[in-house]
Amino acid sequence: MDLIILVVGVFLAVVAVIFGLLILVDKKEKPEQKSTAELTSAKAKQEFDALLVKQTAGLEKSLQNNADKISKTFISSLEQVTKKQLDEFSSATQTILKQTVADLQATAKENTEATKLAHSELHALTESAKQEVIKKVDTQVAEIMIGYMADIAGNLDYQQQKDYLFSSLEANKDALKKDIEASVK
Amino acid sequence: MSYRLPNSFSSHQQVEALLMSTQQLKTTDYTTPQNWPENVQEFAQVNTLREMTPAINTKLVSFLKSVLVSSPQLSLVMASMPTGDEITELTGWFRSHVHPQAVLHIAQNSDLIAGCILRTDSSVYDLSLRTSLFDNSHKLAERLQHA
Repeated sequence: MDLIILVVGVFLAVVAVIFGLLILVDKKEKPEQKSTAELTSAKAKQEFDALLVKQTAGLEKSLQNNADKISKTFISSLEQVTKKQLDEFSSATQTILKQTVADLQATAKENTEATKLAHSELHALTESAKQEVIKKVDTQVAEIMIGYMADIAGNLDYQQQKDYLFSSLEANKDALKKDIEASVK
Repeated sequence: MSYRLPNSFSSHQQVEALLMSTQQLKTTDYTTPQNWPENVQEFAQVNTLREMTPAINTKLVSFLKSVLVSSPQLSLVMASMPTGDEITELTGWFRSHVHPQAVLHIAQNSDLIAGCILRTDSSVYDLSLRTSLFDNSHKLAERLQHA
């Protein structure tokens, strides 16, 4: 037991000596270095800060790149969508315009034909009415004239109308003869 | 033998009267035409009958009856009524140009101005001056338009 204790103690002493020596060496090489813990903490902090800065810069850069990309993509998409919508709108508008023009032309043509037909019918009606009026006037004039002649002529006796009577009978005698022969049979 | 109706016998009634006179002729008068009724004398003159016999009388009656049944009857409406001689002249024309036994019925309508309207059993012939003037009234209108 005593031996063990002795051994352990020796060992520890050796370790302490070595350690002390190391410290001494270290102090000699870095005379301004702080303590290990302090060094570690500051270094870590420094490294962390640097890393943070680096990471931050990287992140910023990445964000900026991505933002640029997103922006470009968004703008591009927006442009595409807008262009597509504009194209569709333009196409639809042109289609509607064409249809409207065609409808207007058709209506104009119908109106023209309807107008022509109306003119034609009006002309025919006017002509018909004109002929009716002329016929009426002619008939009335004829009636007046014939009535006048009847008043002037009075009762023409047989001898006065004989020539007219026999010329009329002569003109119709063949038809009359055929008529009588047919009825007698 | 067929007889000829005198043109003075223009109407149906005159032929009927002739038939009656012929039927009522006395046999004692057969040989004395001057005793015959006037219408029988006229008929005999046109047909150169100098005497009557029972056979001739029978034939004559038969002829007149057939005329009354089958002769064509023409109706004339004239602007003025003709005299007897004028009717005879008219009847003569119809019997010469249309039918030898045509009989006429004549009426008057002064609206015709001149000419006549002639009706048969089947047709009407408007030969009046009035209708002729109306039918040609377009010529009057043309003259008025060009005047």
